[in-house]
Amino acid sequence: MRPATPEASLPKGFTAPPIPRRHPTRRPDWLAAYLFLAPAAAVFAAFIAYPLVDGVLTSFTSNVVGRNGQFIGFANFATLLADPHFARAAMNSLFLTSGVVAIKLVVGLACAVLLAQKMPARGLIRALVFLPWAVPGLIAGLSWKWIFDEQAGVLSYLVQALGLTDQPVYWLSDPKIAMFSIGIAMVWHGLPFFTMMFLAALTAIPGDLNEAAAIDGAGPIRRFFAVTLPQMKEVIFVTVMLSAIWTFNSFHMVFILTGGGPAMRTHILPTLAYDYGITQSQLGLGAAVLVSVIPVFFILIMLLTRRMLASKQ
Amino acid sequence: MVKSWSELLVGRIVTTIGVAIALFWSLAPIYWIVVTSLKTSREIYAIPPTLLPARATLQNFNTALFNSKFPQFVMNSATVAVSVTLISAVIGALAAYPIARMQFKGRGVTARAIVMAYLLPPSLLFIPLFVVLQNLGLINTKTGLVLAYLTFTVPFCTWMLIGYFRTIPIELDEAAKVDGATRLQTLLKVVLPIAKPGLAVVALFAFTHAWNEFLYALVFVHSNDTKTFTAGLTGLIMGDTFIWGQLMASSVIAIAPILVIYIIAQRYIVEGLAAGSVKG
Repeated sequence: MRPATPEASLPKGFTAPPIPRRHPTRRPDWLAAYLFLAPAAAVFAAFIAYPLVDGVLTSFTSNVVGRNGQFIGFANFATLLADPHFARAAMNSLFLTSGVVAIKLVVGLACAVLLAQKMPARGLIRALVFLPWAVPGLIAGLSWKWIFDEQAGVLSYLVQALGLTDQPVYWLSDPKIAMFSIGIAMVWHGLPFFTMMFLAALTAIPGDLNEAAAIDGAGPIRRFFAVTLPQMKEVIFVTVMLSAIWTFNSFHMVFILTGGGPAMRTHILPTLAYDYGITQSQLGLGAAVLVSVIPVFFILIMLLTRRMLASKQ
Repeated sequence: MVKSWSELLVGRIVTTIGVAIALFWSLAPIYWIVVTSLKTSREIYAIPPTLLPARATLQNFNTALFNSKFPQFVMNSATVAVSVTLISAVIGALAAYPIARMQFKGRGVTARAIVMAYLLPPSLLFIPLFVVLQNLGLINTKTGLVLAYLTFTVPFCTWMLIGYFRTIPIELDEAAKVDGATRLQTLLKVVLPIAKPGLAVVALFAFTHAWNEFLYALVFVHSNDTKTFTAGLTGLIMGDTFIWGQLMASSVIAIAPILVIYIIAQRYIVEGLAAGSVKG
């Protein structure tokens, strides 16, 4: 890369012509690069990589808040394997994530197609439909908690006024219904992200293929599945994966809506980790809950990283 | 494309109904927050619930603003969010530049580490981060909370800015180099001024994230001088009693700055989302 020094190519006895003074920018580029990266690397090392390793180590100890315990091997994991709350939280996490992401995918596609149509005040309508995304997650949770309120909530009133049932509905205190209620709130908050991503992809698709298919006599529904959808594969993949990671970790929704109750039956893994690690001060056990899902996330993140890097090259 | 008259009509009707449902679904819960915040506590619990407040009152806002700790929590939130935004924009721009522009050993690994750090969900990190901050004596400090938020905002800003920097023609950097500019001068005087819109969007997202964040705030800070509004609001929830009027009024106050930003910058936000796949 760097040219051979002038001396090397000259016969003995000749003195090389004076080498022009090195330009400041001719200093090795990598030094500047590393200096630029240093602050980010410091944050990464101290507050991401180190805690991650420390978390894994903590999960093998009996540490509690404010006092170090001792190394206890796989005892925390053995405890969790025998713990019905852990099994239930894992199942809840799985069903909630897959259900909510599936609904957001289907409804998000429909919304994107809808908002891509010509209509008056389209910009305003889009902004209003995207609005839930701008609401802080905690406040979205509080708002739904109030809607689901079993005494004075508007939803309980509505289902009784419409004659759907004359029994009170325990939106949040019946564990079976509560998981659905949590799911509804999560869909409300997360749907605009899908719609926005899909809408951006839809508008980027050139129209000619679609028109050609129309001329060949394909109806609008057929065109959507045969022409439009295949071109959105990449966006759909990235959106679903991102959303799966974040939905799995919607700590705030469960924490606000049910707090994991009644009788710990609506916990998801992050709220269970909070309950064990922070509320009950058993840091080791809490960390073990989190560490148990790291392998799953590792695979998801690796898959997604490859796609995201490829799309930016 | 030629469509038959009936096909157009059906399309119109379906679209109109669809838009009506989508608008109702998106806006009804937000409307309910606002309406509840304007009701008296007696009316809040009235059955049937009233669609409009019978006598709108600002009592709840009055209590939230002048008779509670909420303004202090909002100030704490602002301090933390502004610090996080500034720090992560600077660190992010510094880190994004070499990855977008320079050749050095380990570039691929660095880019990969940044994406992975960005994708790592905060809820996997909160217990070990709690331990780290505790060892540093930074639990229950705003500094600790800012550091915790950097774990998300720095990878995020870096990742987004790499994309923005790549859209700037590299010839500009080369011209600056010929003129004798150092890499730092090139970044500050050539690249950043052009990337300003991108930088603004990135800063906005970092601010929003720090402003809205709940889990870290709940775990890492607990006194009145350090609590952000998200942690503060949960303080209004006492056991099973919820002070709904005050909660909803506080919520309206806390959403307001974000909604103003969102409405002003809506177009850029949607573009930014599509470009970098932002946390939802």
